[in-house]
Amino acid sequence: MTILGRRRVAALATAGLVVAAVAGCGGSNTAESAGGKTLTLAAAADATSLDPAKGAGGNGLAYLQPLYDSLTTVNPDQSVGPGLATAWTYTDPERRNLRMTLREGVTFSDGTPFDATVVKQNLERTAAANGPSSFAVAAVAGITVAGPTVVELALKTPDPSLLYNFGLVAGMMLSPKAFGDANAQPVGTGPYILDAGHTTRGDRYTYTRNPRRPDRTAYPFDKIVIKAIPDTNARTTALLTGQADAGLGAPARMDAAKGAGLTVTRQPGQVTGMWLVDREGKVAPQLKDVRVRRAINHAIDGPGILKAIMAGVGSPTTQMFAAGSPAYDPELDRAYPYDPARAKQLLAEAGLADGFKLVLPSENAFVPALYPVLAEQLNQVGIKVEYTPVSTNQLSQQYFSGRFPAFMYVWGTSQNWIDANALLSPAMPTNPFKVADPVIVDLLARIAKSPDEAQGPLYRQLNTHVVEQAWFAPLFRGDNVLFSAKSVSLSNRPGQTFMALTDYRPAG
Amino acid sequence: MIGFIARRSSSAVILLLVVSALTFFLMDLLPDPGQGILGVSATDEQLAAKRAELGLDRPVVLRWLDWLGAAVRGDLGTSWTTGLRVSDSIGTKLPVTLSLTLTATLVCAVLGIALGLIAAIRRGAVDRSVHVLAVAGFAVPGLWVGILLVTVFAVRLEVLPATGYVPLAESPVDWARSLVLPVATIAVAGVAAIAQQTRNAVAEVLERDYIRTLRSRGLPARRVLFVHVLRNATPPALTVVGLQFIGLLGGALVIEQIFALPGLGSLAIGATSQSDVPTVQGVVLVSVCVVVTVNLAVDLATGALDPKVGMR
Repeated sequence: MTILGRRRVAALATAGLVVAAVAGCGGSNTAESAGGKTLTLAAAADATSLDPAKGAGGNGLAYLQPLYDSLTTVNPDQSVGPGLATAWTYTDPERRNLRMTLREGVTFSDGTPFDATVVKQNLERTAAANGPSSFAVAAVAGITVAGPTVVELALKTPDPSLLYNFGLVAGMMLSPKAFGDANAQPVGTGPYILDAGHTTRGDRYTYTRNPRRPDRTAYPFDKIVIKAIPDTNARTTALLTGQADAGLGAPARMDAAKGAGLTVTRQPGQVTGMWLVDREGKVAPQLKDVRVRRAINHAIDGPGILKAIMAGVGSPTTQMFAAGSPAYDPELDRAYPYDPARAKQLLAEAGLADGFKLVLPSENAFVPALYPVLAEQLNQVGIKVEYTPVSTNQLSQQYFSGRFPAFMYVWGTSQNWIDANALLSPAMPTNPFKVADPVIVDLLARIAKSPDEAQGPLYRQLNTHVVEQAWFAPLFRGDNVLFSAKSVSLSNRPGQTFMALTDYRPAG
Repeated sequence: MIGFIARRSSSAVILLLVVSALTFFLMDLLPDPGQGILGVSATDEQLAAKRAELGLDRPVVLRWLDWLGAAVRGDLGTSWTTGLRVSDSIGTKLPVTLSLTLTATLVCAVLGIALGLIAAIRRGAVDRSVHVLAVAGFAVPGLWVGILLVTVFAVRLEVLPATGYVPLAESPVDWARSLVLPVATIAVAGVAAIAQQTRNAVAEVLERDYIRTLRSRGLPARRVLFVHVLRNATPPALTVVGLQFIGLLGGALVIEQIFALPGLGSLAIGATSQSDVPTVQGVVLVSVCVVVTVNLAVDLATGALDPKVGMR
């Protein structure tokens, strides 16, 4: 959890990478202040913009959730529930026309009524803003106001993550009167409003109750304070000394946290693993052979590395999709046990009995301690690794430019389509060599057109194919470690990776 | 002296131009910041649009000239990531960094000069203890001292806040409390440097012939010390104080991280890691201005104390 590493992850986070983010914002302070209970959260990164059209998901989400309601809500199990939209349906079998019915009688904190026209204005504004959440509405071709509370979206291509993304920043509704300077004066329909007098950008953000939205049941806190503390040690100390009620702590200090009377909650986070992106062998011809990619999977001791370098805070895996999600298949985690002999055999079958040289990038942000171990383990099966150091600032740009045939990366969302599309689609920059596997392309197209209940088996087929083809060599899914004060209760469920503001309540 | 200030100012302008250009061109070596801003889910079209929006499709020299033209008019631009005006961001962060560095410098100067004086006058055991303290202060890493202080005073004894900053206007007491641990962390090494420098300078002056003459003419020891010795021994100490302040501006980067102080250092780290060129440029510009001003002030003070230092 290097400062820049976490921050980088956050900066790059797609909507689904909310784990770190929302966890970083969690907490509640039962200290009775003037008006009632205050919830003080320690966040792992500063907010980007408070304007949803320019604001990022990930760590940015925590700062926006108090202010804005979204069109949908993302449930703890990653399914999508009603938000400002109460119902929706695709009106064609191709799933390219979405009709949404909106909640009636909602007003923004400035008194402006919320209706279908406002939705149209917001979505068009988000698309035009070219901000961190604009990707989510890239598939939207046109928006029609079909009635005061009915809006219809025409899509260029079916988008199975659209409704999920509408539960995050892309679906947050801003009052049209605030379009001019929402970053400084944000106006939403959310349970809280920004207390600008007690907010210092880059340091702390204070939210007080929205008088138009007296929802004390779902939001028991009268005040929310979010402190931006990017440094993991400083954040952990703030949590240990009660300066904040909840936030991501340093895994190494779990015992100290328990000793100080804090609750330690572990949530599955992101997958650390090697992306074997040069699957057509353009830079490293050897990687074209699936046997070589499988050999790499067998050569790396994921569970051992997890134990040695990450103190075992996580679980070993050989698949990129999140445990508990529709695409996940526990059987696949047994696909590539650590087996150097088998790796050597596979390399020999591929005509590489004498091994080969592989140029990989190394960095200081995510997992610096991992590189020597990785080189050693690959060397044992005959793959000689040569590292090219890459500066933290340039990580993703360098990695996704097609310069390296493979790289170690930390990635993970809990929404299958976001992962599938980013990791596997030949159209995405995150597939730097634009490799188009016909099986994958076909499955992606079929998933996109399928209703939710039919997607699961297709996702598992896709996942199985990707693991068999060894497009990646995942090592483990690390845990995010949340420290929280005893005065706070978290409605955290097993496997839950997404925490919303409503998941934090005063204890007792 | 006006000529002196004018010459120093013009060389400061050249320095600002060079440093701002260097930073700008170095930042430009980083690949496209678009992915950092838009996230890995962005499509190629969105990345291209972002490049055009930021003007990255234009030659770097033209972009620097644009930035310079605006900066001269007092417009430092808008952050690529937070959308905040860079001057506003700096306006809220600079007081934090200045509170930290000025207080730390003041504490170091007062304690350091006092300790140095005592060591030079008393000699013997006192001198040796100050010397040992000074070496220890140099040897111990500030980072470690900071973590130790936090563990003892914030975590164990719970007498001081571990992290955070309270603006002076909000509560002077809490402002002071929020600065105690960071300032103490800096002071451990800072006091040592100034004490050593003062001790050596005073000891040297004390051995000069004119001091012996002054003493032999029956001037009170106190007057000899505070008027004649100190006046001559101060310039070297002052130079160290000035250097220390400038060093602190850089060191604030680390201290601000440990204590979660929202100062220029935190701003610079965040902005650099996200390739936020306008913010980095703004921070660099302000830092250079502060350094130049401090240097000038130290030179003027030295000149006022020591007529032999020519203001040319």
